[in-house]
Amino acid sequence: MKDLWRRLWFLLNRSRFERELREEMEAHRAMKGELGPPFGNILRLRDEAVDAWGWRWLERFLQDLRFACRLLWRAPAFTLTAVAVLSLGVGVNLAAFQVFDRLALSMRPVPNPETLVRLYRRSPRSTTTTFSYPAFDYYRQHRSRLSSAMALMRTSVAVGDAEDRRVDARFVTGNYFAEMGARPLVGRLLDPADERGDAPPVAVISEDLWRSALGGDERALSRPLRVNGRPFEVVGVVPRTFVGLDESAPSLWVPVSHHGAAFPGSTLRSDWSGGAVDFYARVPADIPIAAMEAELRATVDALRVERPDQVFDGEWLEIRGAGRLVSLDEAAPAFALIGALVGLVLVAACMNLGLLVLARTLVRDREFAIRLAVGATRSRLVRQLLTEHLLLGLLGAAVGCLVAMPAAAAVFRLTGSSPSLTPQFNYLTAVIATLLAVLSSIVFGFAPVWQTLRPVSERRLRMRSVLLAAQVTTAIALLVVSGLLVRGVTRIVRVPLGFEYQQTLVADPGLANHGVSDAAEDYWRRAESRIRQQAGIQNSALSSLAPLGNRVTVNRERTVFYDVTPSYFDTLRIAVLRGRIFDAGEPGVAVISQGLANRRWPGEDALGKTYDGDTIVGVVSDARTVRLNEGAATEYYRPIQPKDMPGAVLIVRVEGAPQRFTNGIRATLQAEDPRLTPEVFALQDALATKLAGPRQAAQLVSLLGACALLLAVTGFGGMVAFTVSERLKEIGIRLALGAHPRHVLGAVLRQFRTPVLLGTVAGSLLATAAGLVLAQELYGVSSVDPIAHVGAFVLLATGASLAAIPSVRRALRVDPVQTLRHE
Amino acid sequence: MPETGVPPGTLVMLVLRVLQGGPLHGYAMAQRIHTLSSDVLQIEEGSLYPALQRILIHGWAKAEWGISETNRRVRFYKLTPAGRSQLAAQIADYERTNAAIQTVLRTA
Repeated sequence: MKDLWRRLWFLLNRSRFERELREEMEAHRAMKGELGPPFGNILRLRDEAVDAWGWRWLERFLQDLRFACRLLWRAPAFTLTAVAVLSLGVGVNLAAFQVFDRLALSMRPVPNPETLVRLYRRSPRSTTTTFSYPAFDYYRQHRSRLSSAMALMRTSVAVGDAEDRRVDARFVTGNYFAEMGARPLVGRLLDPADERGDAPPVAVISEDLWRSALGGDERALSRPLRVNGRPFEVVGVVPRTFVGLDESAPSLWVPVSHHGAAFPGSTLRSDWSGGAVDFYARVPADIPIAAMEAELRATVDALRVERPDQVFDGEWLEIRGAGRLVSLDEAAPAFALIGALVGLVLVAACMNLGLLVLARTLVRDREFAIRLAVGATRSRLVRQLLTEHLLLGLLGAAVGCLVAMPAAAAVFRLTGSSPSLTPQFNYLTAVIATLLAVLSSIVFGFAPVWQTLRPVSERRLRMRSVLLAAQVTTAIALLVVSGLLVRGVTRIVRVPLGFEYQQTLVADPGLANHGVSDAAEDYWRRAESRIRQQAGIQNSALSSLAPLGNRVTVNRERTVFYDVTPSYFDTLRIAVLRGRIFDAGEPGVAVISQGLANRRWPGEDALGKTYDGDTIVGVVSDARTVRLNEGAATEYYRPIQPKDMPGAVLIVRVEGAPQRFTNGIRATLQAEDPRLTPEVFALQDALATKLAGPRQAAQLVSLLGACALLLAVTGFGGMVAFTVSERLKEIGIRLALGAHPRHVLGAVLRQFRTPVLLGTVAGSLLATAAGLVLAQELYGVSSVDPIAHVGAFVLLATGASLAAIPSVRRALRVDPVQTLRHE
Repeated sequence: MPETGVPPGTLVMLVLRVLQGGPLHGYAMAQRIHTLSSDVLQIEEGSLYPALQRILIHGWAKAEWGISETNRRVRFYKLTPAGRSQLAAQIADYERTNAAIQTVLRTA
């Protein structure tokens, strides 16, 4: 250790020690001068002595580095392009890593995230994610060693005096904010005392809502805030940085015990059959999950004794860790796909870099030859090149980091994540950036040059072809995948969904939320007849499933069950193909869709057959109002019964822009029961929201595709330019001898044919594989889409041709005499 | 007897040994070794100064500027305690190796 310090001391005082050594040796020479043989070159001897300090490698490295800096500085076009290409490849990957890191690797920023769990109701046949509130409360009181039981209910409410502003709200247990380690921006947050039955209704609001609705004024908090028209005392403001148990950003939190205050008549707290709350808790670190699950089985069995009808056969509670925003298992396929796509961009960048460096060897070949000739060793040249690419890689890593952070932030913003989710630059990011950039730079920038150091020209040619083929592969693959996504999204919009969604609205008064049950039928009769009297209303119907909604009842054959009034089919313009439509409330009959008839009774007449105990009286055209992306889904309609009325929604078809009718319909529905705060929306708006996810995915992947296209096109252009300059003399002579320009060009460009073809095929195959995964994850995407494949090829071919034009023109304009003289 | 260089690996030991008698400068060391070996061992400057640098790096000796007997500014090297123990270790090593070699030479 001391040795190292002395070495460093020598290094730091290097010039003084060198001077002293020289002085000392000169003295030695003077004293010896008369007697012995000559001393030899004092400088060389001194350098040899200095070697003993052990810093020679550093000196060489610094020398190489200085030289590399000078070289890169002198070739600014090459340096800028290479760094841009590298940082693009690295930056895209870093951005993806940031997103992955924040979502799946980092723990939630809450106290003891590793003990946080979520509970699920499991039975041998099913998994249910939510609990009824009474069931949650039962488990909370009989929780054994499970601690900090938390309930979270997601819903939306109307806020403000006009009740026209709907916001995302959460009904939570009083311990929620304390468990999340949150601190208020203003006032206080909810605590367990707020959950008591006799406590006044209170709420806390998000910083965003506070600023937008109340102007960020602290005094405004003293006035009550109307939630669904009912006054709530706002006790505090939650800062933007708050991270709760879901990744979206709600605007309002209310103690779950005050559900009835926002939804008068609510049966949430007494209804065992509803499934409304997410159940989170903590498992102490010293208890294994399996042991905890075993303990809870006993609790479930105890509940079964008390309430046999409220526990599934063979039910148990499954515990899954909730310390991360996204569990790694659930998100693995999506992340793997994203990783593959961004990886392709990096590959494209590496290939491009390889081609760039290769093209540059045209200039450097001579330099290498001269340096070898004046006595440089090959290993010294290799070291020099390594240093150069190390420098390039470091530059690429630095710029890549600069690019990646805003890119990741933009992804979070674009996908509407909670504002607390921001990319964080950490050492892991820096390490990954450096590794990726330096490895890419050295492997792909250095390998081609390595070939030039051994003068076998065919090798270089093969290398060139491999780089080109790989470049084409990545570009085609990314372009096809983005094509698949873009076309998937547009197909949903263009292809008729089988029902009228441009002119229809959905109105949901939320009767069930307010505990309306027997009165629901009467309510609907009155409300619907009043709405039908209004001008511009063409037809209306009741349905148990809201079109484009999230609620759905499906059996194992993927048949979707609808309970509707007879006017449903006319309202949504679903054609009756055979038979008739049932009458209102007609028992024991059903109408099915064409798709279900064909699957269940292929080649037979479905009329008169029975299904699920009902006689089929009619067949209608396919109308996928839920499960848009699922090809196998089919529809089954039964007359709506009084028991379905509380959960029903009203569908209204209108003339003209549907948005104009929302306020009128809401007012009518509320006039019938002033406690309600109905939600009314146009189907076309809901469709746009539903497509936002796939659309964003398509945009992001298109961006990746554009990057790959740019890289491939510039790479190809550079390659052609390189080839043309390499063979300029030959082209000139051929042209002078009277060869047809087309033939000459053909001969020059022929070498690109095989790599481009191979790359295209490989890219298409890769894209098809990715498409198979995508088709399962996203609406309307199909893996085999000839237009996407052909489109990608045409795009690439056009780009590549444009990039090659300048070089080709240069080749054709070449003057043979001048070329020869130039040599 | 012809003059020869020192056997490989022993130069540092010889330098440390002559320094045991007191601080010396480079030229004096070479002279001392040359004389003590009855003019057999000839120290090349090309190997003496790298060896001295190594000795300094390892902390076996300290260098100080002074005035030589011929009135020149020269650097005197002075043995440190670390250098003393290093010398003892090297001599022990050397003697063991030497004895072994001798045994082989006599009996083989």
